[in-house]
Amino acid sequence: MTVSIASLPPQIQQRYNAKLLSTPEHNLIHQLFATPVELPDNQGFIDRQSRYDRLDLFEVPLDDAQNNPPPQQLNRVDVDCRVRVYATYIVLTRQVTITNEDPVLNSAAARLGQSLRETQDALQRDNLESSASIINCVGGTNGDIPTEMTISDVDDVFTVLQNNSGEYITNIVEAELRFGTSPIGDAYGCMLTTRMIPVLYNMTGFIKKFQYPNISQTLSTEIGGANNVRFFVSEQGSVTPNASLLGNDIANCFVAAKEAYKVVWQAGGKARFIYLPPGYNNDPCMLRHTAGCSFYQGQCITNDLWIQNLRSTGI
Amino acid sequence: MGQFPYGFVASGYYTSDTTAKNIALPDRPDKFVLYDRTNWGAATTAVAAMQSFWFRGMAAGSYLQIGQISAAAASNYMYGAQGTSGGFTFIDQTNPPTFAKVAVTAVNGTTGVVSTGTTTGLAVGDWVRLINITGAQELSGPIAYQITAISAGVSFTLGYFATAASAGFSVSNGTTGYYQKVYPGFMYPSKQYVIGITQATQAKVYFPRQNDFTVGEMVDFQIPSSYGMSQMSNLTANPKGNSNNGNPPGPARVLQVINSSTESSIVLDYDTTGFTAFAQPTSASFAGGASPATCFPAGSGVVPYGASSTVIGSATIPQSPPGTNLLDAFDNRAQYVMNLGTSVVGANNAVMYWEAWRGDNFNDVSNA
Repeated sequence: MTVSIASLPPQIQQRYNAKLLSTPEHNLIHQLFATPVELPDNQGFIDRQSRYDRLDLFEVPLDDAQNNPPPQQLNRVDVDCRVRVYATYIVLTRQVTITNEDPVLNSAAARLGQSLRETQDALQRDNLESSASIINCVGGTNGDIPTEMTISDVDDVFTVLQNNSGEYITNIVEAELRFGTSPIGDAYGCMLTTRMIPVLYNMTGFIKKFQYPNISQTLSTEIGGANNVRFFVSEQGSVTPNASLLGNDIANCFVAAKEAYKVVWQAGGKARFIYLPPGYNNDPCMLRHTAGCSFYQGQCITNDLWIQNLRSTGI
Repeated sequence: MGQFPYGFVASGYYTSDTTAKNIALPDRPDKFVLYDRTNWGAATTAVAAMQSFWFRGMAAGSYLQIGQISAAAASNYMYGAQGTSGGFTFIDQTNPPTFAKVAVTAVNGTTGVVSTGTTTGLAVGDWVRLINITGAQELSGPIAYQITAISAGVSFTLGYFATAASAGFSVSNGTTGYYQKVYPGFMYPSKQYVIGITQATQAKVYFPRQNDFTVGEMVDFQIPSSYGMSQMSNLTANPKGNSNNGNPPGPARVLQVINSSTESSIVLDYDTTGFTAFAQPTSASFAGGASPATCFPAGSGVVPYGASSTVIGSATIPQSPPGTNLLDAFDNRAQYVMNLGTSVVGANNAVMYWEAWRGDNFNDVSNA
């Protein structure tokens, strides 16, 4: 009679492979162009920065009487940003950590770190979505308002930022003698959802990152460029559901110039991992660990002229 | 942790006026209970919402309830009940619930009355978007309008829009399309869609829902040329003087904020008398390609003095020495909210006590 595993099964039928599977992690793009500001401790929870407005030009010469001209008014705008506290944690029984083969607390720390960074990024995304001014894409042909993004829409938002004296984020990527490549102009940065990738790839004039003459000055989140805008994508890019004229989802594509918005961190409240062993938190029998994280953050637009929400459908 | 099946989240009380109410919470609850402290055991008073319950996993708007009938009606004073609308809806403002679109049969471009066969789930104060409104496409799209009145199963009224319309910013009547209930964002201050700007030495700006601007705040605009008054766009870039109608340089300062039950507006320290008149684009013009008119925060300014909050300026922040506005700081105001519908909010003038609880080890998987 044949002996098979039906009659002689292995005593141990399962092996634990200690090499962990990857966890999906979102691209972090919304802080890329934010000006980082540190709020010192013991100085309140609102960070105020100020900007003095431009003065008029004075092209008319003084006449021969040489009288003093009327003075100009110096005006200042203050921009306030409130810092808030964010925290989360995991509770693990001691039984978990002493019976699992895997070092569960290590994974808890990794996941908390990911959650923290993605939260910081999402806060900035929500700030931009809430406060930035809007330009609808209108160059497309899908019959909706906004339409899908086209090169004319990219040029429109570029023109708005240029009219508003916005400074470029990146410098020109010069042409090189490489087949199939194209130079990239001085550029503003655009942060948008990965759902926009098909729209970008269909856009006339869009240059994929691998067609850049030189990719040494790029990030993994960058997907390409078009004229004077470079595009950075994230799975948690901003989408407003059902908000188009026809009720379709809208991608909020934030096009930023330099110093358009900022992120404020409290000096004593930067990202922190907190582990408490069993015995804390009303745990007299020492049954539970906790692993937590916290951070302090504020975010705001510092100059409304230099960030535009270019909205597109087609996603 | 580990001591009780539920941890206490928060509690409080309010006096009911029978309208829907939002309760802000510091955490997500697993259980929410409401008690009528006034009418409990008052044998001559029949009250449906004597005690109402919500447990995690229940559908939005649903509820469990203990009601009380009057002593004269029967010998059983308390009874159990449940419902699927007008009850509890838990809202995480960072991830609000979504709603299906509902057909619209007409939109009045002057009165703001939206005719529809279904108003289920709507309450005064809710926000709706209008979608593909034939004949009035300028109303369609991203704008969140606030509801000010409801005729059940017949129509609802966009009173803030109607106030702007009566100030000269009406649009053509629309016919078919859809509405969809939405929740606006939670970051403060948020941009507002502009539905009217007066030509005045102190311009008034109308919005379709309550606004969160504050007196002394600086605001800027994006007014596409199809709306007329494009001189209001990108004020932050403006120099001072005659090149800008004699207005101060930079963005416009808010002198007054109005958030009544039917009007949402701000009055600006900005002269628009010489500007092109503001007018909503035609339906065809908007559908042909336009961006919405928006007003957005641009900074903080000196707070003007006023006699009360309902007249120009602020009664609480003095001008001398110059008052500074900290209320307009960019902020994250997201909350966990339990919305209490009209079926559970309580009888008129009843003092309602509420409790929120969170399960220490919530588990919706059975052991079977």
